[in-house]
Amino acid sequence: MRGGGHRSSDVTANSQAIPVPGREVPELVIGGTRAERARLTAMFNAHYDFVWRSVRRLGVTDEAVDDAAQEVFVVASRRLAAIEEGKEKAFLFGTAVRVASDARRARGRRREQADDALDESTSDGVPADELLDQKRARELLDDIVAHLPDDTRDVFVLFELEGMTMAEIAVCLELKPGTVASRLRRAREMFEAAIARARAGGRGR
Amino acid sequence: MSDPRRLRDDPELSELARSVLRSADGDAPEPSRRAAVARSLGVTGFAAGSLGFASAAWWLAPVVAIVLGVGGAAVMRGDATPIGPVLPPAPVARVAARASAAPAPAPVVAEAPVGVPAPAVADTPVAAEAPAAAPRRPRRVAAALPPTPSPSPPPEPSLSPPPEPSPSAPPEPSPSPSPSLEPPPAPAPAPTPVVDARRLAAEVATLDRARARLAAGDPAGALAALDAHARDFADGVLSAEAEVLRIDALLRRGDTSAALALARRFLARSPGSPLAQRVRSLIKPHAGGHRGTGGTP
Repeated sequence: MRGGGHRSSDVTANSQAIPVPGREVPELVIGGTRAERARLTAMFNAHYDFVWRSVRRLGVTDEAVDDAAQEVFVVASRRLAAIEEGKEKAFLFGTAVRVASDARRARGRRREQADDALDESTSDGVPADELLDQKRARELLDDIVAHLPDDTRDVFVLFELEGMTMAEIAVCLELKPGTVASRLRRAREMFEAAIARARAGGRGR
Repeated sequence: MSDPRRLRDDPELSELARSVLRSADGDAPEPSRRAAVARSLGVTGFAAGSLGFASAAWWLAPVVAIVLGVGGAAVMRGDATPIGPVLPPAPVARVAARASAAPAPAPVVAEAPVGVPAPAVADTPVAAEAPAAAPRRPRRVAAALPPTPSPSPPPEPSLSPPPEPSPSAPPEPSPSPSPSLEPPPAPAPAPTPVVDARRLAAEVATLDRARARLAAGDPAGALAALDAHARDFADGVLSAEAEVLRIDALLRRGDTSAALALARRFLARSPGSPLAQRVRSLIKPHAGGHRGTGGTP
């Protein structure tokens, strides 16, 4: 279901091409003409923070966000010619989705253990109707977002967390407005159900 | 298409759900890490006033620190060494340093500063990059640089001749808050037990507006929304959040000194609040004299 059929054509970039998601920077060649470098620069300046937030919210852990965001731009730099003018943000988000999804998969098993831990932590002592402390609230958010179906996750993150309008999201994901609306509706239902479970003490997961 | 209300603005929403949704609000890259990524991508000309972090000072801080012979690694980790009063936004030196936290001090290649006076428009951030491209053609990242640590002779502060009479920041007073600002013991964003849901929703909406303006690269618009917040929600539940947004907006607009003053007050008042960390990372690149309060654990 990955990709939900949306704009996968844009995101054919192969993130495998980046050998190590670790600290060592592979040869990031910003080759090409000055115009291309200028374009990448413009994209970076306009969208880096957005990309960073997106990969974070799509499930990349705190320690890995910088690398993941960088990876998105590496992909962009390699596929610059294929990115339509005006669709830079859409391309970057699509790539962010892929990169984040790879990251999620990579630590899938660890995640499940973490989920168990989270269940426990939410089951005791979270005063359900009060403000959670920031850290636990964030863990809960990450957990909920990670469990949303892929297609609804994108819409949820862009609408509820990023604050984009439905129209912007439709453009960004190349979806019909009606599709955005229905995915958002589904995502919200799942979000609220997850919150309800958390309030009930993490039971029933 | 008329948008539905954001979930967080729904007065019916549980406090738990709201705090979960808001827990992502502070998401933002550390400026120093961002700069490192920019360097490793060969992206330059991140001009002051462009989208994102407005003042060039955040970008300059690591650059200057490196040129001064401070290990690049330290900068990358974010514990940017204080470089004295905030530098005026100005020459964008092209620096190649290891993009990641390297154990060894990064070799430095600093090119003749391109005399681009600060605020360029977002659409043309490339201005600074063009001349630099000619001599050096940085086709690959610094990681590929030979490890010849030849730190240029520390030219000391004279390195930064203020190219414009920008007020930037006043010399930092001692990090300790002035006695008149006796920090009340209460942490700022403490949970408020009883909240009028509708009022809270309206307050949240106001701040969302500010946030959206910020995200759209319009700090002035954000400040207008924050003024509205201050007017309408003087005792708002989210005053602390509003303050942090204001600091961010001021920085992006280039009002470094105002931002720093605000940040100092904030940190003096609630050094342990969850937002304090955000404030510290916002001002870190701007605040030479701020390591006192910026003590990361």
